[in-house]
Amino acid sequence: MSTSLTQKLTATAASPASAGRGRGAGRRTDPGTIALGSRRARPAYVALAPYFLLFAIFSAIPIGFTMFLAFTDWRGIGDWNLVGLTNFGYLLEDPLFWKALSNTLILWVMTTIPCLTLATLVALGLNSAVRFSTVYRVAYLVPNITSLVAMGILFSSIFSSNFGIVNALLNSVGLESVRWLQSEWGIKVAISTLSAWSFVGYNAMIILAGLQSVEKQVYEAAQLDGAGPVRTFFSITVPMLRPIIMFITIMSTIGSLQSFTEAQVMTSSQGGGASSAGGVGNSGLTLVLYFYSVAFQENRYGYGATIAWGVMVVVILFTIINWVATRERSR
Amino acid sequence: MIRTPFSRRTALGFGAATSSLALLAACSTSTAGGGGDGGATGEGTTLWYWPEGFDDTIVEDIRTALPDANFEQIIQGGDFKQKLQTTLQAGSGLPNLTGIKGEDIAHFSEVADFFVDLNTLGAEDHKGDYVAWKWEQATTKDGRQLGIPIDIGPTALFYRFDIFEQHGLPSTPEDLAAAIRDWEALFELGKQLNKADPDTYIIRNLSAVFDIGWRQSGAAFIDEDGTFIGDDEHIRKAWDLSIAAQEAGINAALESNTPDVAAAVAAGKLPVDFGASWHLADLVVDAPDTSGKWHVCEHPGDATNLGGSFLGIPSGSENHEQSFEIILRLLNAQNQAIEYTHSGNFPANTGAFDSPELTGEVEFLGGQVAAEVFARAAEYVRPLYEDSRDGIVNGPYYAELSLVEASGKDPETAWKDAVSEAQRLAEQNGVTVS
Repeated sequence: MSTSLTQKLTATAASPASAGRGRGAGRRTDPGTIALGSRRARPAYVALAPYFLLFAIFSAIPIGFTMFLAFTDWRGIGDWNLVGLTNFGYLLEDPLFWKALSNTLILWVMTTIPCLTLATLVALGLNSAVRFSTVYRVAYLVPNITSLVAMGILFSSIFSSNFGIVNALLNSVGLESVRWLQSEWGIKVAISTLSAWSFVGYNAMIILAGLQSVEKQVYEAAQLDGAGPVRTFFSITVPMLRPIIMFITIMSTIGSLQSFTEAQVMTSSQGGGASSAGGVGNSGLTLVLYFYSVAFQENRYGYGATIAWGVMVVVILFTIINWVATRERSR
Repeated sequence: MIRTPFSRRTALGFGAATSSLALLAACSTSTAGGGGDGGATGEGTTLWYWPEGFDDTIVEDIRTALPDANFEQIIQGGDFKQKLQTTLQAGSGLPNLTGIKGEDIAHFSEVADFFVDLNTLGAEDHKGDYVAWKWEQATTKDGRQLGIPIDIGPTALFYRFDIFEQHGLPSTPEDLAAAIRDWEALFELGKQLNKADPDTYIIRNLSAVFDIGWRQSGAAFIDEDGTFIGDDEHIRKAWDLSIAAQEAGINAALESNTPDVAAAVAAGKLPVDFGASWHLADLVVDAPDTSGKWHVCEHPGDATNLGGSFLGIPSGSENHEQSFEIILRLLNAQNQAIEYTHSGNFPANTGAFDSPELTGEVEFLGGQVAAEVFARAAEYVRPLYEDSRDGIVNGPYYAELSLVEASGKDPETAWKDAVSEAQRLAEQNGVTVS
């Protein structure tokens, strides 16, 4: 299942002699693959075409153009000058880029850990087959399908300094108010709370699916061996869920590295430019928010594209780390 | 899994391919036609504008006066500059007329070829009808006219006269304006208010003071020769003014456009706010219950300009003469007076200043004739050279000011950090740093 359909098709199309015999020939090389004659494969390509057409227009071509733009000083309209590697030099020395990178990584940790912990608890709860479990499943998934922008506005009210619910709760138990959206850690807490909240339900559903695929007999065997619920959870459930947890971790890593909306909605930039984006001290400035501000607010499309390259390098690095980690585990 | 033979799937595949092509084609035609409504290439004359829109009666007026033009206003939501810019660059699907926001005019001046030089259509003859400094904002260095000004944003001071009265402070617009000719006097009043009620502040945030402060100096961060002047005396003075507000303890330090500001305004804890005439709309939304308790008067020093947009003609569109005729009619004194009552935007057409619409009393402002204050303020606004890169270079000052008010950063360190970061950005963007 690891190789994609296209790879299979190209692999078989490359050896028409064996493929010409039909299924049997193909099966001998790879039992999972059904070989298609080159003529017979054509309809499959046609079936795939819409996706690749859309992918080319909305992804591949823009990605290529972004790569090109990184070498220019384009301001979004009119002519551009090729500036070679100048933008990349700026990027390495840009304190805001590094700030945005560290913010993004901190937010990733602050979002993923509470989110996965909560999601596991929710999934365990849902799995214990209480009444109305469908209602709960829907309820937990609702935050995930609610518009992030709308939720961002709501959360900035919840976390507002003087009149927010969070501060009202703090005050009611005798604690001092916190200026959440005007302090370095406050902004991060607010943003990660929003992202974690909107993804708990989604992750819980996936974990729930994983939990339900664990064979009952395994649990029964554990019970016979005298394992308690805690022991069962750590020795049976967690190891059985490992692939699911890896999947969720990879998905949230990619999601977090691309995080934008939460920070954009919850922090306002007062000067208008990228320097003041992401709130006080740029504490909520994520990588994607940074390149959005540079390109679309400051009209520096060339440099914005360079930052996008930086984001891509980081995403690739993390993908490699994840990939290596998954491979180690599955061996 | 794909199985052979799969004729049905083939058919489905073809179907999907065709429908996706149709979808793409649909996308492209709809943009070309400006929303599938005839648009630039068809018979109608289109105007692109942001969601506020021109009042329906004005649109109707154009339709009656110029029936052949088949005039249509198309509201473009979302990022207006981005949509306009992309369409200009693509060169197709252009509107006949377009709004250009004040903050984007310097950017578009750099690519003036994308717009018709309105002087070639006789704009020069109408210059006298509009506020001079606003007109010049859309004039390029080589004398081309990119747009005709719609509205201006001369700044003034909105204040809760009932609260001022209650604390025995000058409360009529004349008295207060006379009492606060310099900033120190205003800050002193702020201290008195704060002493009477410790939760009351008169400054929203330091950026609000800095905004007006540097504009009052008559120069921005980059001069006409493309040299960085953000470390000069005039910026330093604006900075010191903001810091003085901080040290006087009269700064609420609330981020603009947040529920916090709205709540503070509604609760009377921020009884003073700077802004252009359009800021009245914000106050009405934030604090509807305080209607009738506000007045507006001149703020300390000269008025400055915040905002105000233009109408221009993309050079790739057709029938420029007719488009220009529509612009002049949209922006004539009578229609601009109507627009003031519709959106609160203060007309750039000076002929509208004496109209009944402008000389009417504003209920929210306790029956005050607000236009008098703004019209007078408009006379004091100094022309300001704006470079398209100003917004990039001035960012660090605002960022550092918010650190000063939010986390108590030392103002002197903050100034040094702001200047060095601004210089780095200036160099990066081709501004000469001496």
